[in-house]
Amino acid sequence: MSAGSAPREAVTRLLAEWKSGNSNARDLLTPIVYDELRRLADRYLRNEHDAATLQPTALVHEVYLRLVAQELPDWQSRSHFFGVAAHLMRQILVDHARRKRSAKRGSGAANLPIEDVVTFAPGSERAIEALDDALNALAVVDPRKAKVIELRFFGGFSAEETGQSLGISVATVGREQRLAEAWLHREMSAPPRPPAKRS
Amino acid sequence: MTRVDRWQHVDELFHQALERPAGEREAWLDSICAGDATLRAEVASLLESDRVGAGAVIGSSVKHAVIELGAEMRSKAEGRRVGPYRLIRELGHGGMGTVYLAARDDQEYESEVAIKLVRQGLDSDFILRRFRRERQILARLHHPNIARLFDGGAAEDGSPYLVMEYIDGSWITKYAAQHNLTVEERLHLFLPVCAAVEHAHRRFIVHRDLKPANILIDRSGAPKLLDFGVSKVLLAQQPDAAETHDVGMMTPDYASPEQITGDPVTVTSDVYSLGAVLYELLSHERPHHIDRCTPLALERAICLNETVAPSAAVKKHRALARRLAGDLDNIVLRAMHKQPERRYPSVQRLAADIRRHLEHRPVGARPDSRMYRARKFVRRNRVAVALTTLVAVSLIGGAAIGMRQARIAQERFQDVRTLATRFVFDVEEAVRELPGSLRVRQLIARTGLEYLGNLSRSSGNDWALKRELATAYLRIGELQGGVETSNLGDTAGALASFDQARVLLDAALKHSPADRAAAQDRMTVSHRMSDLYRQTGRLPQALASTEEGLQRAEGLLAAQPGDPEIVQYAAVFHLDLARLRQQSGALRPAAQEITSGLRLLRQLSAARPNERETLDNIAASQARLGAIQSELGQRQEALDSYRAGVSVLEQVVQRYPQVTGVRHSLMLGYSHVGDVLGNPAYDNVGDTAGALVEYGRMVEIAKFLHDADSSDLRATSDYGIALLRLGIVSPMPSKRSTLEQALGLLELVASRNPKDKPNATHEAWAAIELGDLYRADGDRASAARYYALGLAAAENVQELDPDDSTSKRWLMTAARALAIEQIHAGDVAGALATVDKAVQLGSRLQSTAPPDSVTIRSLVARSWQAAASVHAALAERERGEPRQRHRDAARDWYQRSMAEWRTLEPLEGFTSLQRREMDSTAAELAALDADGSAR
Repeated sequence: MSAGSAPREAVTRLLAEWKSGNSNARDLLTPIVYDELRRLADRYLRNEHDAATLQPTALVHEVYLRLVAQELPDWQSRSHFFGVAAHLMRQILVDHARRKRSAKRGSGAANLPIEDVVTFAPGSERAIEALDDALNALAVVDPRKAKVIELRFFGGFSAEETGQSLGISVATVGREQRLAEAWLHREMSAPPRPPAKRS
Repeated sequence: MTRVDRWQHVDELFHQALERPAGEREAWLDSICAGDATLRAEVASLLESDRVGAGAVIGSSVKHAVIELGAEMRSKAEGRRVGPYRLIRELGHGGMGTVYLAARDDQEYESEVAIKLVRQGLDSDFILRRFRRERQILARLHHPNIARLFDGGAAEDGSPYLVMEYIDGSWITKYAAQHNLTVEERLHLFLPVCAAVEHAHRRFIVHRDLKPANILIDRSGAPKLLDFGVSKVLLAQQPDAAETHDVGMMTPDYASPEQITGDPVTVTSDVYSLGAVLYELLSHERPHHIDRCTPLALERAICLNETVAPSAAVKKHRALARRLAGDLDNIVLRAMHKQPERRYPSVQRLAADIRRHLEHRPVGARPDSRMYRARKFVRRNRVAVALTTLVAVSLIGGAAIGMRQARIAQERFQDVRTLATRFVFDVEEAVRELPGSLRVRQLIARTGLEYLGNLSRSSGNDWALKRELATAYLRIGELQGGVETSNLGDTAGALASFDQARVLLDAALKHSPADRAAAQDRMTVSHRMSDLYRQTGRLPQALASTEEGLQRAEGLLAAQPGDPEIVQYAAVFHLDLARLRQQSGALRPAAQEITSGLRLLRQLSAARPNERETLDNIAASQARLGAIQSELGQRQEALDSYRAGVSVLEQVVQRYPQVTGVRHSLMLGYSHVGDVLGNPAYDNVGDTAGALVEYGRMVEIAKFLHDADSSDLRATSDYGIALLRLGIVSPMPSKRSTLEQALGLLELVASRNPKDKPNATHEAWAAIELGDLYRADGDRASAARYYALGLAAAENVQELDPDDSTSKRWLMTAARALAIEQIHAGDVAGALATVDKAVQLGSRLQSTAPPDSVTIRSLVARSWQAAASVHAALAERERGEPRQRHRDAARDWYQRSMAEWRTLEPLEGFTSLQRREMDSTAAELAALDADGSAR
């Protein structure tokens, strides 16, 4: 009944350790957040209605409420937490898409090369994979922009929160996001290229 | 310009361009990027991307991925087959699992059912065990207002499922609101719910999660209870932290204070929850306003805060408030009293008060003050015997005693009835896991028996009560000394209780022969009694009880051929008989019984192909049959039996890869097959290459299990045992290294756990094998060391268990081999002392062995042979008179050994292995004589 007091304590402790500079804390925090996120996804998304209306960011917020919210921690720990959760949310969605495609391939479809060269319209099955690849590429070119996208779209941070978390102004968040979106969209619409060409 | 600088430049140009009107951007870019076509193209492509709606693409990709993920999570279930059922769609999910609408698609007209699957991630052995047990409990509930349990089994991934009646209906509260029911109509709707809960309570089942969601009103307007008892599994087994994150596990709005605080849950907890449902049904309001699910908030709301009377909760609706004030407030608040002992003691009493209210008669529930007075009155009449007497009087003197008093008496009688069973089962269950609760549990059993005895004496012609008492006696017998892992060890008491159950059931069956549940309980009693008789060495009684049970099962099968539940009983009885026959040495009849049992188990398995328990039983029975056939010298038959068992286990392992127990059984299966194929230590068919393959498989599993948990001594020992077998049939040079590795593991386990008998027995065997290898190499000092180690290990087992026969064999073998090495090394006194151990053991066995036991008497023959070969070896190194003396002694021992072998030769169970040994004794004797005549 006590809403997960054991993981809660652990999460609170790990966030404090992370803040005080213990870099292991992040690694220890990750599996706890991952499990909770998966569990909640599993629980909510099984219901068709929920799946159609649920934002991934709402899931992340719920995980936050379940694992942290008891006493409101400082904004720094909060952004640490959301940073981890947003990244994991992204990973869960992408992993699923990849798994699903490899399962399809495994089932013996002979005409798969065609699928590999077509471009990805938004909403197509592979869009999330394309987004993930593009985000990885963006992180190489401009890590901060990639972070902004991750926090805003997978972590559910507002522009203000994102700015606070990254130490930039809200206006800068807007600018970063706009260019990042243009860049990602362009990358996603193009046929896949070897990464070496992107410089 | 570095890459970073260049990118920053792109960044700036992009935003600057955006600040300009769209029409001017091209020209502006031309001027600002003059000469740098790459830069211009980069910025232009980003602007173009921005223009065509980049802003929406990420959000929609993510959204799409979420929907996809959800669809997959559902499709994992939908269309999925579970046993013979096809899942159609999800109906809902609770703490323990998800419920699906499903259909049997092997039927022309689909009948829809609800299937409950254990939630993924929860299927630990523990939950699975509880789930199975729960299924057995639920199978006992047959009530028109309880959703029926049809079936159950295990899905392909091993997770169990329950198949239940599908109720197409809505929550009781929603139904009442939709149909705009009056208060009277609502109460009439609620009464059958009480009856259903009461029905379960009489079968010692407490629901523990009664809530509107679990009470559906079907198309015909009848209430149906769902989820019976499942929540009990959870609450008992998922203490606080483990399942805390899932509020769905328990519904705090309807949970009783003791459920919140973790105090023992009894039937009055259900009374409370029913009260809470009634509260909402009547007032449209939940009894507590729970806004936060923290433990503190819950405790405050449910355990501490005064419950607002239903009428007060609806005071805005004045007509309704007036209607609820008084009786209905009192009824609801009494049911929901925070102290369990102040609630209605039974659901029946709650229902009775509701009925009285509907009949405009005074209800029993009063505000606290008056209730106390009532309680005082009750207290005066506490003694059970007095109450049962009162019932008897009221039955005889009917007219003399007013109807009201008679009803009170009847109700009190019900209370005692409930109390007795609740006391025994709920309280016992609550204390069972506590350390040192043995004395308390003994007291509970004794007190429970007293109550039952009183009830039993006054049961008269009350057949339902007799039936109920029989079940109670059966349970209490199991508690005293039956199958429960933590029984009280009171065999005599258990037998007495089972006998009471038997008498009551026989009476009940005589009265209503078609009572299927009674017939099944009756067979369970036979089985339990047989078990107890067997354990206490009363084989004739055990046989009689089992045969009686089998007759009953066969009688029922004649009426309902192929009924899986009865088939299972019949199979169990055949296997019980086999065990009893085997124990009394009648191997052939034992084999026949197992064969009959197996035939039934296979029939059962065909009917329920997904039930693992049946497959496990088939495999275990095949192995037992193989062992018996092996003992009978029927090598080919044994091989076939073992192989049949192995193939079943291979299927099970494939289907349930995560269950290690099955792998362990499969490992033993390979071992048996290998032993019969070509293990020189056993009666084998001479297929060494085949044995090598089987032992290779055995080692593979043993290594897997060992690697999975290398701190598990049992797994380490098994790995050593597997390597030993592999080593024995392996060619050189891998033979030596494999045997050394095996011995190393076995010695390691022996050093940690010297009392591990099988380990020490195999340690002896491995040491002897290595001794033989070194002797063959001419390294006689090493050989002697290994033989000494083998002898010590075998003696260790003999000390632990003087009746163990395999270690005797190794003791003789090691003693003989060591003595010969000692002679070789010149230690004659040592050799004589060593061989004396074998001779002593042989003499002891000769005086005690049953005349027809080939296994034991062949040890006697071996013992004499050991003595003979030591004297023969001594003769080798002596000259003159001493040589002749030893030769005479050797001949004497050889002849005694041969005499023993010859009496065994015609007996059943004299195997080719023993023939080989007999032949080798004869050859040694012939060599001795040839040698003597040559000189």
